[in-house]
Amino acid sequence: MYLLEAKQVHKSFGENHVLKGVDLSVAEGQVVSIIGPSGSGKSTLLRCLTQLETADRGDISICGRVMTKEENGRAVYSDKNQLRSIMLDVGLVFQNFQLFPHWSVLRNLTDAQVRVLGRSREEAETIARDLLAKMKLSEKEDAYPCQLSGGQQQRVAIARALAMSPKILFFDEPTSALDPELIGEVLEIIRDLAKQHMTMVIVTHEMTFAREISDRVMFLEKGSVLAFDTPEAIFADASHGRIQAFLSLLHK
Amino acid sequence: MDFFFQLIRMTPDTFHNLMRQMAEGTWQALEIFIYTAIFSVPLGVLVALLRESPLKPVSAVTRFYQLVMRGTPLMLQLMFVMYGPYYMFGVSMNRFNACILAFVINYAAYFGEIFRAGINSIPRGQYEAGQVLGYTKQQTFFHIVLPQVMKRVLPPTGSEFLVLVKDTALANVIAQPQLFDVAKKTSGSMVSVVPLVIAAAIYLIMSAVVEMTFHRMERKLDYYS
Repeated sequence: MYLLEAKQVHKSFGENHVLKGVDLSVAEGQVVSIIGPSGSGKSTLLRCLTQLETADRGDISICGRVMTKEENGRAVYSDKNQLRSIMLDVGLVFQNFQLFPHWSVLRNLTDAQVRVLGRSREEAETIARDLLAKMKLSEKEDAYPCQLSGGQQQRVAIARALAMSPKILFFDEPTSALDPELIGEVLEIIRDLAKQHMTMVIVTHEMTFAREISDRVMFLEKGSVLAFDTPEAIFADASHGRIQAFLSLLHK
Repeated sequence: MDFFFQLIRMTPDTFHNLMRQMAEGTWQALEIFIYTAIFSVPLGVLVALLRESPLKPVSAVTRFYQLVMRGTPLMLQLMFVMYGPYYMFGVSMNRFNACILAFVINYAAYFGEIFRAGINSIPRGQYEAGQVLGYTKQQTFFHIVLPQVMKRVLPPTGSEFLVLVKDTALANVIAQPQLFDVAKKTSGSMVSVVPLVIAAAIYLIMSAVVEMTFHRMERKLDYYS
């Protein structure tokens, strides 16, 4: 079963045609990485899928629920309640963490559970502490985000997203804002999630990592899908001349 | 003590009488201060939100209101609110209410700008993080954005409160009794500078209390950046 199905998604900002008909399907338990040069529309695609931007055209369904459907050449969005329930099935990890600085780590993880999902405080705290333990951050529950390293902040942000029990988790360049020595600890967490068959869509510049954990890799360029294939095919196949050129540039 | 009364050229009785009037004036000034503070701050948040409204007319009207409030003398506004209704419609305003109303709509215009700057300084990502976690727009604003705004606007808001301490003296223009009124009248009738010096000291003390209160609030919110 596909948890995410997007067909012919278009998005323009004024004259700038950023997404030119992107298709993406993600099956339950799959990990899909989206790679490509900067400005190729990777982040815009992710933002359309997480409702942070509205697509101009195309169909998007998440967890079997229609988010938007194309009618007469424009995307028609479902009603507010449907969009909200889709939102709750989805988690997003930002490049710049976007933790809430005025709350402790624990409150960052529990507040939405209580306020949005209506869980009891005790239940929310149990879930939060469990996740913090998995992130190896148990001793930091009373700390404030500004007291943590970038890697720790991003792990808290991942825990905050997971605390809402999403069915599919999106990552927007989760390691791009980190110092090189802190990237490993975040990738390790994502790797663990992949092993537990968390459905994930990851925009990343970490090619080795994408190759290692992905079931499918999408190469996006200038708003179009150049290839959507297994990592072996993407990274090894010489037939994707443009992709090879991009990868070799990265290695320089 | 005798030396003190000789120095200020007053009998102990006159001095005590003066101090009693000063105390009353101080309380009346404080009333203006407190009511204005209580009403103008939340109204300032509203002004900031209306000014940022995506509806162009709403934003434009709010901006015009702010221009008038910030672009004309508060003294004149006090006169207008106090006597305007009588001149135009024959309805007289209660003096104290007119005074508070004029102060509140004036200060809300300034607070609106301070809070607007504060609200705009919160990164868009904070709203987006709230949105993807399922918070409603209202929850995101009141629980995530506004607390951070409060920390950021504390210094300029404190400054504005210091101005308000001294601006209460402007109530004199509509004959609303308060500290400055007492100082002016007593110094005239006693032909003495002493009431002015005492009033100055009291304004300074009130300002110092406001300054220390804001300093303490800033320290309290120092736990995050």
